[in-house]
Amino acid sequence: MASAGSGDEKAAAAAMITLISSDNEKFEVTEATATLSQTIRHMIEDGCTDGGVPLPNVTSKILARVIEYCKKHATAAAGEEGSSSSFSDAAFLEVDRAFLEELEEFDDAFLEVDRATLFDLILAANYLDIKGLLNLTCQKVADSVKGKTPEQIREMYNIVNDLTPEEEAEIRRETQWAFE
Amino acid sequence: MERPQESESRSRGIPIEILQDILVRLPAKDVVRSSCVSKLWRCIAGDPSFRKLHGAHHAAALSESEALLVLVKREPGRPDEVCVSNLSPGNVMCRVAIPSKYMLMNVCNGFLCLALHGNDQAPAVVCNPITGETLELPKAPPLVADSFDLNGQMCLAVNVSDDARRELRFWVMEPPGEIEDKDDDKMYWDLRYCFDMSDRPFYVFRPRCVWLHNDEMLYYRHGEMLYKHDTRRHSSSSNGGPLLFDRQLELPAEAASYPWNVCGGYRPSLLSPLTFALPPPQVRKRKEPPFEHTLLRAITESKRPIKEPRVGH
Repeated sequence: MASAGSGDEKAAAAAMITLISSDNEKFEVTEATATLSQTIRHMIEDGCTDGGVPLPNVTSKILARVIEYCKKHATAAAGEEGSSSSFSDAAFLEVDRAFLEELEEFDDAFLEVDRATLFDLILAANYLDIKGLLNLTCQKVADSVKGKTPEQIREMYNIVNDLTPEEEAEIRRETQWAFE
Repeated sequence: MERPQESESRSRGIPIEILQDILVRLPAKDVVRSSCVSKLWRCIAGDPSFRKLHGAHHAAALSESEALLVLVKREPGRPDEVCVSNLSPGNVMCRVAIPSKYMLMNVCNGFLCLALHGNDQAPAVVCNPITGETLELPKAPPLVADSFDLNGQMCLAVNVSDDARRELRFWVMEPPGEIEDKDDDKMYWDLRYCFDMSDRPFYVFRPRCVWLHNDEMLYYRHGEMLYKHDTRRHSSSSNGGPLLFDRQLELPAEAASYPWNVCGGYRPSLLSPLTFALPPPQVRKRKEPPFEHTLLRAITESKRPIKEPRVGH
């Protein structure tokens, strides 16, 4: 393996990896898709992916969504590499722009999920160390919290208010200016 | 136990660094407001390292600026106090004790700069009105009068008067790259507004300030007079003669008895002014040995020159 030529590398790029969800469902994905996850990339580098990668923290429902995201963004990454190595022409830029727009639309549609799923996606993105997905989902939560009152935020995300009434009154007094 | 098991475990399962990652994306005002949500949220919003991260995260993005009312209260027997209010919701943000006779000099992003007028040696005080923290900086920088922030651009208000006219001109500094038809990359001063002030009284030593409210209304305060101009109606004075202010507003009579000022260009920030503090190592270097050691050495060394001549004799 150490003396592998470029032919072997190409073969490796097409290699399939098996991901196993917490409820024991198996997902076959290409290495390019799987390596969007830094966690899996390290496992591949360490050569411990034979027989599948068990992911005890991710359910099959969430893993299917994560793979959907990775597939789309892996092709985007491959497309980027392709266009930068070849001649950059106006036509190419046009194609890039159309592709980026399509990717944005995909991301928007991808985030159309209920709050519980959104949080599960954040946890999976964190565990699998997928930067783009973590960024996307965290931004979605931040946007949903923007301009909201503490009561609205607690209700939206089932957060228990563990502040005593005195503590809350004091914080409110100090932060009065931030409330409209 | 009555709550659904699933949501309980879910909220407990969100790692603190992810919640930080979410809150760091919010504007400072939202972070401050969300400190009422729960103990964990309050803990994150108040954490100095989170504030630093928040400051860095939002430094690049020029958020909308707000105008602050800064009032200095001087009462006999009590330290001077600066009271900072936000004009947008019209609420008091903080009250902070300041050195005697200090005045607000300028606002830059999330900080206020207070200084002693006419004294370059007195330290300047930097204050974050959100956190109420203050820091004294060694020397006040040279003070530029009547400069203010206009939509993130520096603006100078200049009074021009001769026999024929008296005008108030607002020059805006345009950063390079904004003006495409000019050739090199120098900064340019653009005459944005010019007002005819010929029938208005002018006093050199009365306090003046200018600010922009909600990116639309230009206010000019001079002594006890407050002028108002809607910038949407006349975008530039270049097409005609000088403009006239739309309105002159009445100020309450007590306004004359307090030093007060309004500053635009404030952008809420959670960054602590303490991050500008100078590192302390110099203090350690110059640290004197305890006095008893010095005295002991002085006494023991003084014996020798006295003894030696005696031995020599």
